[in-house]
This record gives sequence, C-alpha cells and structure tokens, in this order.
Amino acid sequence: MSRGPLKEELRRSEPDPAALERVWSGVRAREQRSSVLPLRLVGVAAIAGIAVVSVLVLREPSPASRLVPEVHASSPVRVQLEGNSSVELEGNARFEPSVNDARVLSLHAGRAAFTLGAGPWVVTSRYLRVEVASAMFSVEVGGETDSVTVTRGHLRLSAPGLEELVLTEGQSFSTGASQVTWDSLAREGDLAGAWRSLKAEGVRAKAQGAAPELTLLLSDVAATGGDEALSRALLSSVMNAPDGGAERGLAAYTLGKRLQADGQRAAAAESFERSLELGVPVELRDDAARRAAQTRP
Amino acid sequence: MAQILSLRQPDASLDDGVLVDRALGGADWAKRELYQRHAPRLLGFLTRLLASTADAEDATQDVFVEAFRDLLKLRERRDFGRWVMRIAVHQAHRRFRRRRWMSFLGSASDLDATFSALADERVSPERRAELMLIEKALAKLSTVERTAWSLRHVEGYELTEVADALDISLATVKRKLSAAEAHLATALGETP
Repeated sequence: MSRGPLKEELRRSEPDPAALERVWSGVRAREQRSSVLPLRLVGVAAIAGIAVVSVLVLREPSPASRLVPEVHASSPVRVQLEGNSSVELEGNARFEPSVNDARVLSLHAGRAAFTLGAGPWVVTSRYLRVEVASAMFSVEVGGETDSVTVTRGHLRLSAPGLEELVLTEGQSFSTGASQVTWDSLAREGDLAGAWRSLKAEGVRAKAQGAAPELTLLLSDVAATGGDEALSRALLSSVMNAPDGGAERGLAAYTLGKRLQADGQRAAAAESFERSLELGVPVELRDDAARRAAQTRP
Repeated sequence: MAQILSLRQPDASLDDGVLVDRALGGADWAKRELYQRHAPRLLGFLTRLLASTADAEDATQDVFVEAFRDLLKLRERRDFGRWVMRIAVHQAHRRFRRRRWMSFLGSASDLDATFSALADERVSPERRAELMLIEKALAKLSTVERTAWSLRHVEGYELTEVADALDISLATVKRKLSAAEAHLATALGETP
C-alpha cells in the first residue's frame, strides 16, 4: 500500500466527455422540471412518495433504461420507449437514453425519427436541445451541423447563440459550430473561448451601447482574460448606468468583492453599500450587508 | 470546434465564489462552469467508490441537482468544491445503504467498474488479483471505513481532507482508517 494513490492504476475510471454531457443533460432536465412543479403539489408528491417507496425500490427499470446503454444502428432499427413513444434510427445512428432519466435522450451521430407522446421529453445532440411534450420530428447529426425537422406537433428548441425557438409542423432548423458566437461561448461558461475570440479591443467594441446584462458578461470575459482594469471599468459602467436595471446592484457587489480581495476596504465598503442601495438578488443581500459591515472603515 | 460544450477545459481564472454568485444571480453559464470544473473529479471518485458506472452517473447527477438547489446554504462560496465532495460522499452512502437493502431482498447490484475492471492494461495479472482481494475486503467494511480508506488510498487525499469530505473529526478518521487497514492487511495476508 505504499505505491501511491490506487487511482493511478485505475486509468479506465477517468470519465469520458460523453458521460459528463449525459449527466449534465440530466441535471438540467431535473432543474427545469422542478422549477415548473407547482409548490402545492410538492406536499402531495411527498406523501405519495412515502406511500410508494417500497414499490419504487423494487420496480423494474423503465423500458428505455432497460435498453442496452447505447444503441449503434448498423441498419435501420426501431426502439420502443415508454408512453407509446418510439425512435427509428437510420443506419449508423448512435443513440442513447440517459442512465437515470429515461426521458432524456441523446443522439450522438446519424439520423433518427422520433415519435414522442406524454412528455416532457428532452432530446439532445451536439448543438441542439429539444424539449417536447408530444410531436413527431427528426434530428440529424451531420458533419458540420445538427438539424431538426418537425413532422407533427411542435417543439421548443435551444442551441448555443440562439434564444429559445418554437418550431411547428413543417419547419426545420440547422445549426453548427460556425454559428457559435462569443456570447454563446460565454453563456455556456467558456469565458476563455470568448476572450480568445474578442480580446480587449473586441470586448471594448462589444460593450459600446451593450445591454447591462451583456456588459456584465463582458466584464467576466475580461477578468478571465486577465484584463482586470477593463473588467472593473465595465463593472463601474454597469453600476453607474441610468438604465442598468437589476444588473446595477450585481455589478456593484462584484466590484466590491474584487476590491475587498485587493485589500481596498474603503472602496469595497462603498461598493457593497451601493449594491444594497441599488438592490442585489435576494440570495446575495445578506452577504453584501455582511461584507459592507466587514469592510466599513 | 466540434463538441465545444463538453471537451473544452474549464476556465480557472474566475474563482468558484464568483461563479456561485453568478449562479445565484440566475446565470446558467455559471452553473455549467461549476459543473465543468468539479464533475470530472466527482464522477471519477464515485465510479471508483461505487464500482458501478450507472450508479456513479446517477449519484453525480444527484450531487449537482442538490448543490444547485441548496446553493444558498453554502456559506463560504469559494468552498464549492469541498462542499460538493461532501454531498458526493453522502450520495455514495445512500447508494451503499440501498445496495444492502437490495441484497437483503435477494437482488444483486450490477458492478461493472470494479478495481480489476478499471485497472490499466499495464497492471500485471498478480496485481490485478491483489486488486480483486482488496475490493472483496473493502466490501466487508462499514460504509464510513470503506469511504475513508478509498479517499485516503485510492484518491490520495490528506487526512484532513478525508475528515472534511466525511464531515467527521480527524481522530475519528484515524480510527476508521486504522480499522480498515487492519482488516485489509488480514485479508491480504499481511502483518497489520
């Protein structure tokens, strides 16, 4: 046992990107579901949950999760899903239901025709995320782009760089890597990628006349790129913008934390107090007040 | 640029505290970034501990759903990484309890990620056999002993980090590790 951490010998346990993406899809789907669940149903659900707990523990897996974890179709194949739903995979398609949520489906390659009912369902591909209650549609993961075409019903679509879109019968949509913009990179958390595509000049140019929410994002991009002065200038501009809205307080709070980290207590206190005057999200209010008290000279 | 959402390296320049602030302010990208930073470590750890890829993915999903739901309870926001590790340990223990119950009911778990299955191809057959013995011996430990041993000897954590992840005192960690090591030494035919 003196040979160092055992994990160095267990290299096959390193997670692969597909598994991480699959788990992330599940996290997002569950967050979205929980945000629409009416509060009064929670109590009822809890009581029902307790009543059926033993059944749940002993239940058979749902039809989709009983599938082999991943389907590689070398010839057309039909996969039956729960709720009278199915997916027809064309040759060479690669399809996978989520391990722990049978209603989150991923198409990694090829073309698949979905007939889904009794939703919500979530279907993801490289660049697309489709939410659907009941519809017939096809998704294709091609060389450079992913596309979706609705045959019946409607679905909600999201993709990097795209505000949510509703597609109805007969409509199609395609997107790919070339459509990815700096703000879609930033909104997905790839701030370094956004910085690489913009640099300081680009950040300054994009900040001209930008909405406060976008300026705040640009400030984070600049901080990631190491241009702290530019980042703070953008925070100040949001904080002092006459039409800054809810972002003004958030900008003041962020600036306060940066100043506090630098040991500039008086300036930090001023920023935290400003953030409280302007209003910060309720989740940050106590923290802003505590920091204001800590830094006040 | 293909797979931009999953293959890129996480940004390290914004600390976790800033990302937690942003997430609390409603920025989905910040949650994504927190996930990118911490999920690979947690998924790897849970796979090695639970010996099941399906259970590990399931537990990792639960960790982040719980973390994002309870983000407000995180007092020191820079400590997001330590906090999610504690949640991961809690989720792993839930699954161990469930397995014991299922085993009592006569249903065996599907363990597809045992040490021997995860071992690098360069690991010798003798070492592979030893790994199987270790795994067999670990299965007989209590949940806390097993997790403490795994954090220390599989993940390579310091004793204080083990105590933090398990949310127990350093003295208790030492006792648990000592008991686990004695058990393993006996199982492997070594002198404790």
